[in-house]
Amino acid sequence: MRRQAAGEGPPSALARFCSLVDRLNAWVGRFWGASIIVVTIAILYEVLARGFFGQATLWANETTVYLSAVTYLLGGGYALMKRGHVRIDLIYGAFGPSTKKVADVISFICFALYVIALVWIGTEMAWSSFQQSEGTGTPWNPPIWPVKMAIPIAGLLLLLQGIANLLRELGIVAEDEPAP
Amino acid sequence: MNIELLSILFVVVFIAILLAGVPLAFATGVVAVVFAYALFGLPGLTLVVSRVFTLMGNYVLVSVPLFIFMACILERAGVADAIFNAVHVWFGGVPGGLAVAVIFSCALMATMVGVIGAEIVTMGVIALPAMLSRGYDKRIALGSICAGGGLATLIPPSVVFILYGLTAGVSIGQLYMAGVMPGLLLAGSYCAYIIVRCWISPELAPPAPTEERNRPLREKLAMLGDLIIPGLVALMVLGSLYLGIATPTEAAGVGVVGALLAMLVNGRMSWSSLRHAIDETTKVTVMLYWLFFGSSALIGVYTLAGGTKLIQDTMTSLPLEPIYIIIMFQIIWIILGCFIDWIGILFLTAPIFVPIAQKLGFDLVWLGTLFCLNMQISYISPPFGPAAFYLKGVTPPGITLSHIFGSIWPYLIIQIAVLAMVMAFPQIALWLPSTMAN
Repeated sequence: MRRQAAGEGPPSALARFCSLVDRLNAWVGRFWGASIIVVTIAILYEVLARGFFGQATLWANETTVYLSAVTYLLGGGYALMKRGHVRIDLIYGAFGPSTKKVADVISFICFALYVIALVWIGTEMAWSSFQQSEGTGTPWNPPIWPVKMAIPIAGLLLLLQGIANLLRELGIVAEDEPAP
Repeated sequence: MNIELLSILFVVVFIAILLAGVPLAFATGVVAVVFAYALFGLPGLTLVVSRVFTLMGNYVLVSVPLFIFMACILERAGVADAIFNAVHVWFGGVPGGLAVAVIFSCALMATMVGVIGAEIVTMGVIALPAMLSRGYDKRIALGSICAGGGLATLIPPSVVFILYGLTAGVSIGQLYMAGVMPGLLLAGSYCAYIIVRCWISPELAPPAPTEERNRPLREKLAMLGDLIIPGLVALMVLGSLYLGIATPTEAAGVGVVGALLAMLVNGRMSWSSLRHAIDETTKVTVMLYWLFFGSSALIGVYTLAGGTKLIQDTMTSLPLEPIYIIIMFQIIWIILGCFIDWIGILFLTAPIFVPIAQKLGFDLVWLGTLFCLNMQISYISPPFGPAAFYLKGVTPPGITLSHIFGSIWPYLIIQIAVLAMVMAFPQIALWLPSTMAN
C-alpha cells in the first residue's frame, strides 16, 4: 500500500536520503559495536597484568570506560532505526491511521527538542574542552574532548534517523524491506 | 510556581509525551530539557548534558554490555541446550520431571546470564516441544519456562543489580550475594510446587518412557561433561566477585572470554554467530544507556527544582510505620510494572525511593533484593510481562498469549510468598553478603 502511495519509479531525493541515513547508522552501529572485543581484550590484559606482574596499567580502565561510552552513545541512531528503544504503544497502537500521523509528528517534535539540545550544548562543551586542552585528570591524562564530542555527534545521528523514520511513518517515503 | 504544582506538571507532561509514542529514553530526555530550560535557562541545559557526560565516565557501567555480550555468546554456544539435556535425564523418575528440569536448567543458566530472554527462548525451543509431545499439561509446561526464565536477574550475575547498585550507590558484589538465597528459595519453591502438583494429578505430566529412565549411569554422567566449561565460567565470575578479587567489570570481561571458550569447544564458533552476538549486544546496551542518560537528566532537573526533597519530606513525615512505606514503594513498582519495563521503573523510582529508605534506616542491599523480587512478578504478569512475550515468539501455533498468562498464577503466588518472606526475614537476603570479605 505504502509503496504505491509513494509511487514507483526511480527513488526520490527523500527516499535516497532515508536509505543513506539507514546505511550510515547501520555502519556506525556495527563498526563501533565491534569495540566490545577491544574492551574485552583490554580488561583481560589488565587482569593478567595485575595478577602476574602486580602492575596495573595506566590506560586500560579509561580506555574501556570511554570506548564503551562512545560506542553506546553513537549507537543511539542505530537502535532507533531498528526500533530498539522501549516505548509504550498501548494508546498509540489504538489510534487510527490519521491520528497516528499526528502523534508521530508530535513525537518527533519532542524527540527533536531533546537531541537538538544535545547537539547544541554538547558542541559547546566539547569545543571549550578542546580549547582548554582539558584532560581526564588521571596519571595517563588523555584529552577528553573527543569523548565530549561524541554527545553532539550521537545527537546528530539520532536526529537524522528520526527524520528518516518520520518520513516513512507519514508515508512520504516508502517503507523499505523490513529491517531483519 | 510552587513545587507541588510543578511536580504535577512534570508527571502530566511526561505521561502525555509517553502516550504519544515517544520512546521512554527520549521522553525522559525531552521533559528534562524543557523543564531545565524553563526553570533555569541555559545553565539548566548544561546540567542535562553534564549528566550524560558524567554517566559516560562510569566504570561499572561497562560491565553491562559485557554481561549482555556474555549471555548472547552463551546462547549461541548452545550452553542452555547442553544444560537441559544433561539435567533432564536425572529427573526421569520425578513427578513433572521435565518441568523440574526446566527450573533447574534455568537456575544454572542464571549463574551465567544476567538478562531475561535468552533462557526463555532456548527452553521454549527445546524443552517445550519435549514436554508437549509427552503430553504435559500446557499450564505446567508454559508456566515453568516463564517463571524459571526470570531467575536470570535474581541469581548473579544480574544486570538489574548492576544498575540498581549504580543508582543507589551500593556495592554490586554485596547485591549479587544478596540475590543468591532468595533466588534459590524461589527456584526450590517452583520445583516443589511442580512435584507436588504432578504427584497429586499424575495425568498433568506423564512420566518418561522406561528406556529413557533407565539410561545407564555412565551415559548420564558423560552428559554432565558438557557442563564443565559453563560451570567453570560461572564459578570464575561468581567466585571472584564473592572473594572481592575482581570488579564486576573485570569479572564480566573474564566471563566473556570463558563464554567464547565454551563456544569454541562446542564447535559453534563462527564469524556470523559472533557478529550476531555483537549486534544484539549493541542494540540492547544502546537502549539501556540512552534510558539511563534520559532518566538521569530528568531526575537531576527534578531534584534541582526541589521535587525529590518534596517527595522525601512528604513520605518521611507520613504517620506510618516505616515498613508500610516500603510496602508502598512495592505497590508503586508493581503498578508501574504494568506499563513500563524494569529498567524504566528502576531509573525513575530508585533515585527517589533509595534516599527515603536510607533515611528510615533500611538496608539498601535488602531494598535492591526486594526490587528484584518485584520485577520477577512484573516479568510474568499480564498485560506486558516480557517473559510471556519472549516465550510467545517461539511457541508452536496452537499456543496463545492467554494460554501463557493463564499458566503463571501458581508461580505468581509463590513469588509473592517469597517476597513476603524476604521482607519479614531480611536475613534470607543479607546473610550471604555478611559473610563476604571486605
